[in-house]
Amino acid sequence: MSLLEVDGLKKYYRTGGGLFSTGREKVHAVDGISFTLEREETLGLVGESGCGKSTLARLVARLEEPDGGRVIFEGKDITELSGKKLQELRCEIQVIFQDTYSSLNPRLTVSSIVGEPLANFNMGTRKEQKERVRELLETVGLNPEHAARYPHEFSGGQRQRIGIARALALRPKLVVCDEPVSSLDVSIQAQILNLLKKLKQEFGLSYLFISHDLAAVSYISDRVAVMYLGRIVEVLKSRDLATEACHPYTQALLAAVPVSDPRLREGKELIVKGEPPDPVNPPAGCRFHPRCPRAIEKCRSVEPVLNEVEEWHQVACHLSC
Amino acid sequence: MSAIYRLARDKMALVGLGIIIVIVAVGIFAPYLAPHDPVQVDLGQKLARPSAEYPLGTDHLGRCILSRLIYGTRVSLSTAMLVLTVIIFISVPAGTISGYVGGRLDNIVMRIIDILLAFPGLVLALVIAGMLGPGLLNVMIALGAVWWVGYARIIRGMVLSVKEKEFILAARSCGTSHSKIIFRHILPNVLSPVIVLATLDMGSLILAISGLSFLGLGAQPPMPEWGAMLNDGRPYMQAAPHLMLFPGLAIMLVVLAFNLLGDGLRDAFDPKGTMRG
Repeated sequence: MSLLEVDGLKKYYRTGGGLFSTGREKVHAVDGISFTLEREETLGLVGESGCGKSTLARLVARLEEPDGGRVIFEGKDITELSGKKLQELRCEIQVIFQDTYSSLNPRLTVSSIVGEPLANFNMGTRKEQKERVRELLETVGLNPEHAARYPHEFSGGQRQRIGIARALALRPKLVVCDEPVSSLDVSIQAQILNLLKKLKQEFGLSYLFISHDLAAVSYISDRVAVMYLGRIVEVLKSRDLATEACHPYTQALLAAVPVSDPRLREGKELIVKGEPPDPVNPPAGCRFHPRCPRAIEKCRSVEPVLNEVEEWHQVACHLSC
Repeated sequence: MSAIYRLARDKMALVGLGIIIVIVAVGIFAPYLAPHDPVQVDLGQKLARPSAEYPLGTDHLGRCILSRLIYGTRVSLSTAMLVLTVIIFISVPAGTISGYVGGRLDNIVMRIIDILLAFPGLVLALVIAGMLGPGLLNVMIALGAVWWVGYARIIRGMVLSVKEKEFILAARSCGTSHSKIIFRHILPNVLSPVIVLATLDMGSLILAISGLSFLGLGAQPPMPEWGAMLNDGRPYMQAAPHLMLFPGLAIMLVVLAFNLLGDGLRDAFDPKGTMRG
């Protein structure tokens, strides 16, 4: 049994919504996404800005209500949970956020931020909670003596460590990382990625790791799912990413990764032009066809489905290799 | 606390705070400071010029103006404070719930506010006070009923912006209840602009109360109230200008002091200047 199974998940946002609007315009943020996440696996999710990555993260963590599809966690359908059952689920799935500034309440001390989930679930006495907070801070590499400080007294990397400590407080099984390193310096990014790797081994965590940085995703993930305009276009093992990727969009993303030696750029001309289409009116057929250098007639009308081309490798493309 | 430190370095704000403290003290110790009974009529002394016996002179009924000003401090300040408390108690829940819950409820609350804002505030207060009849309590009700809308609107706007912060999502994802989110995460981040606004508005409120009293709707004789004193002195403005001069100066001084303190508080809480209109 997989830890997490996502089946045909959909989320549309109505635009406008004023008094006199018909509200018929919908942003297709997440439009029929299915994937599975095994125990103690890290699934990376890449895609450009606005393709619905963060919405997907919030749907999985039940911070938003889906418009269709199901989320199955440890064999239980959690899509419809509410009230007490939803509260219990919060112990199992936690989120690490992107923005280290807005994800910590500036008016609370570190100990009350990290201790908040413990207080919510009445885990032990106040003294035990304090002790646990110190322990958590130590685990993420912060000085427990700094528990009484406020978030603005820390650097970006340290603030993200506070966010990680908060996410670990309830000993979750799944941690949804919503671009946890995107707002950090490159040198700090590596530290945080290594910390996440270490914590995963230590606590047997599973990650849904969202990023637009292919290098970061392939470093930390076991498998990578590539998203484009609310759909998953390719899923494969991250060690096969450079060699086996066959969806034109994945290849384009790989080609866009900066190379240290310009001479090695040879043969990497596949650069996607233009901007992603408006998610209010996604193109018919394959959503990537207006920008795809290899599009054929069929791509304009028939939407490709995610097919398994080999074990652990699925592609949604009519040309699939 | 860096905000208090910044306030302590703002000389104008300290001047404002000093004046306010003095005025509050004057109000508290009125019976010891006033040379005469503020309602004691002495028709033989009416419209007297300032003298050693009556430092600021007497009014048309021979009452000591200084004593009336000193006792009037109590009326003006306590009425304004009370109205402000009522305003805060209506607007904070209304604005917070409207902004946090959103949707249809938000729409209804905002439309009510729009309707109230469509009328000039003081004129609407005048109508309400007029309908309820003269009296200080009715003026307070009228001002409270009109004044809360601006606060509710501002609070709602700030709640909306705080609500979108990721720490609210983080709180939800770790199981914090809605009421706890409001009290622990939203209100503390919204309250400092409200304090600034309230301080700045104290002056306007005192002015509004005095204005309504001047029109005969607020404090009723013989209660010493600054606006009512202005009204009393109006027929004698040419013969005895001190009847209007001193209450007018008192109002000006208090309004000025609250504005100075309010400006200072705004700069202290918000050094980047995002609250400046």
